[in-house]
Amino acid sequence: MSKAPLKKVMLVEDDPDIREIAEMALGTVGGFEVMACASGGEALRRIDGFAPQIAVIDVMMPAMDGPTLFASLRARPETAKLPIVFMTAKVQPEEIVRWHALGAADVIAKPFDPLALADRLRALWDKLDV
Amino acid sequence: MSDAEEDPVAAAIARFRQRYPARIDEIEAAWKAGDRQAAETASHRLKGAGGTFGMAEASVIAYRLERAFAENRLDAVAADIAALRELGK
Repeated sequence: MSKAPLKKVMLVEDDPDIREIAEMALGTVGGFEVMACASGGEALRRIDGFAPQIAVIDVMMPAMDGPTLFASLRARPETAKLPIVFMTAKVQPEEIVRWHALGAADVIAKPFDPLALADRLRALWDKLDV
Repeated sequence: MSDAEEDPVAAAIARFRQRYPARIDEIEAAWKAGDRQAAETASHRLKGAGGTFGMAEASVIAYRLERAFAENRLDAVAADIAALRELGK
């Protein structure tokens, strides 16, 4: 049976400029339904009502950072297998390895190309075994 | 009609450029207050945002500032902040 196409993306990014352009890149440009959250807490409050197929999460956020949100999502049965993509401006090789080892489906470096973001996510989705 | 009116991405870039000076103010204020951690964080954020909004050189300078604050090498900070402001003109 073929996999359902990627439609619903949760975006968690505290920087309002990045959040706006990423939401636009995924929604307006990419055609996804996007739930954009400004914090990990907001994401945890809203995720059940949205049921995303994939989450794109900034690593460095105040209060609840990306890895902490990742752990919270993994601890909930409803989101334990949700594919999670980290976005980070720390792109040293050891950082990339660290997030993959944690279980991230992919790591997107910032700066990123807004016009290529949706295609990258779609290509990742096609490769994922979900 | 301008590009920003026609194209939502161009509009977002225009809004980023309007807010760009405030990001530099944030770095400078933290530096002058002696808060290297806050200055490093603000520089890190500008590094990630600058290139995304087509200001690659700002990202490069912001990365230099991020490292400078992290390593307490502050001799070139004023010049780099001035360079960031020039890019916003």
